[in-house]
Amino acid sequence: MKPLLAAHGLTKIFRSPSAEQSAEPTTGPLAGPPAGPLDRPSDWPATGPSAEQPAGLPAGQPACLEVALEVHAGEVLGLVGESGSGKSTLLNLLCGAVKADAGQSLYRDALGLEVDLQNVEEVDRRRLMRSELGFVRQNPRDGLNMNVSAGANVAERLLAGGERRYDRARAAAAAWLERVEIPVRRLDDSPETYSGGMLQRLQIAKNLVAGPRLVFLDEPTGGLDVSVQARLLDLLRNLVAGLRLAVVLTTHDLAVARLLSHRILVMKGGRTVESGLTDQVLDDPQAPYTQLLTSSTLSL
Amino acid sequence: MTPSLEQARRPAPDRSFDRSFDPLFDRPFDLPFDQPRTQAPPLGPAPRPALASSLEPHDGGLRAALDALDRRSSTTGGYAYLDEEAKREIRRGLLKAVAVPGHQTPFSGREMPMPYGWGTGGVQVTASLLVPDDALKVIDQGADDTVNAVSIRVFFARTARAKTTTRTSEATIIQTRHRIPETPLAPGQIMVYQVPLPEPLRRLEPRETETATLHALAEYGLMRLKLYEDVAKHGDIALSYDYPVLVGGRYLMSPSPIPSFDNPKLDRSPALHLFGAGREKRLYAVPPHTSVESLDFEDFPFKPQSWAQVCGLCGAADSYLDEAVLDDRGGRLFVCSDSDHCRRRRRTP
Repeated sequence: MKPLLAAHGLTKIFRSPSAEQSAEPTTGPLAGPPAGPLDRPSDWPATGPSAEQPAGLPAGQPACLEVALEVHAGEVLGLVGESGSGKSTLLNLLCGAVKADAGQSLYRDALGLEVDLQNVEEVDRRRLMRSELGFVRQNPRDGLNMNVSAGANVAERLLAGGERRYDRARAAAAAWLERVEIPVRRLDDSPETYSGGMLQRLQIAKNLVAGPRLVFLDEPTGGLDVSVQARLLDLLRNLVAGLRLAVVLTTHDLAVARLLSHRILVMKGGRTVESGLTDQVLDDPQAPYTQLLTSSTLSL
Repeated sequence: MTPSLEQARRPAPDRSFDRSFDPLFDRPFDLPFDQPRTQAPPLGPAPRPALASSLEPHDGGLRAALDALDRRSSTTGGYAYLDEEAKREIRRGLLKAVAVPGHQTPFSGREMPMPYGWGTGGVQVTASLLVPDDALKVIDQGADDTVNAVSIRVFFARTARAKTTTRTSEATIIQTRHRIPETPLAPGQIMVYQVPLPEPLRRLEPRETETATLHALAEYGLMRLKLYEDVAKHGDIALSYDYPVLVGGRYLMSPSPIPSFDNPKLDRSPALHLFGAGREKRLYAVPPHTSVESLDFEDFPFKPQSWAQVCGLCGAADSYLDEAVLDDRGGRLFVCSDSDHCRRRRRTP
């Protein structure tokens, strides 16, 4: 069976200011722009690629280097690694929110057509992002519209997707609030009055209301205390299993990864260090970095 | 019927239409506009049949709008306050606005001898269009006799020797602040709107880059969200003016702060509607016969304002009514906001 999402060679280099500065002509303030077209950074003279960096790419900090992965329908893939290992950048590259320097992110849509999210018209990408895909951010305030009511946040994708009846949009919003264990009487309240855990659940409802097939979760339980985290994980596990969602999840918490994901990809410095079935990777880590990671976990 | 208000409604003897008399300074016009219009520049060349002919089979409205602009490119030498280069630039912007109905196109707004918020956008559009054969009507909230309307009319009477009128049916150009006349508009007429905030999404999304993207991608979920919030909070869509519309099934547009009562008059109107925002330096247009749909929900349909009262002066039941306070004892009277409409109805009962 063909995968739902297949990424090949995803690479993103964040150009460092120092590299940019040294690329500027230094003959004086009136020297003018460099000779080549400005929008092709690879034309700029660079300070020289670092040893591990592939040729033909701009100088700078590699956030992701030639990452490849596959996600099948109904499968949960966990991306684990320390802060700065490129997890979040990879997630943004997969959904096309950040443009890669190289590589593809091929998504097979509901009609069975293959779409490269890295190279699709923005109008189509946005349509996919609010219908077939979802993106839950670590900070719910980034993913929610804090100026409108909770109900409006959930109804937004339905309204944008062509729902022209108020009662249907509202009923769907109420049903989803109930599903994520938020009291329906809070439907018209501003999200500003919600607690952190409720906000994250609201964001999950907002992303699932349009019936997506693939959801990206960026540290969904980061910043929540453990009891709230446990409830949220429980909810997520039930929703994912019940809706047969495919999920790509980033976390630095190996326990979260073990609970939710079927397969795991360990990242370090923008590269894939190790990948495999969750239990296999966590119980019998092969790469030295994964061994370090698993042995660093605190236990009671 | 209250005679005191009836008296207030009746304008003082209006000499602004007497072109030998300058009402601003209460004395006859001085040079050079006191000359009778014997040598008025002729109207421009006859409409070229080739113009936009490829669009003709399916869009007569666009063709009519382009022809109207084409016919108005003939004045010379600082006629109507602005220099010819400025007027040409505005007309070029209007061409683009007409070609993409509802889309805001930028123009380099000039300084006008009036503050922003007094109709600098509308005045520039009118100035770029006026030719000596035009009859100009200016209304402010429907009335011909309010300060803003009278000053703009006098401005063009002086700078363009324009023929002015208060009769909707006689006017070729109607500059308006926040109303559409009750008298149905005819083909060939041009409405010019003064627009304070051209961007309908501005209150919902402050970033210009983001609203531009939303327009480009025709993503108007944000406005639907605002309507949803209204119904959730107030039980109905709580907008009575500047009610957002979708033009030609494509662009979300602010109809300028006209009451939602006037929105239906925009839909497939035979007239050309041009919008000018002076402070924001934006132009947009609704060509003749273009669909203008007020956003709503199927279960909460668009409802223009309506009144239980009729006009206290002319008895009209189908016009937009202003409420006038008559005394300190709660005396009130509802009267037509369109003074021309009201006056003519009273004259011909």
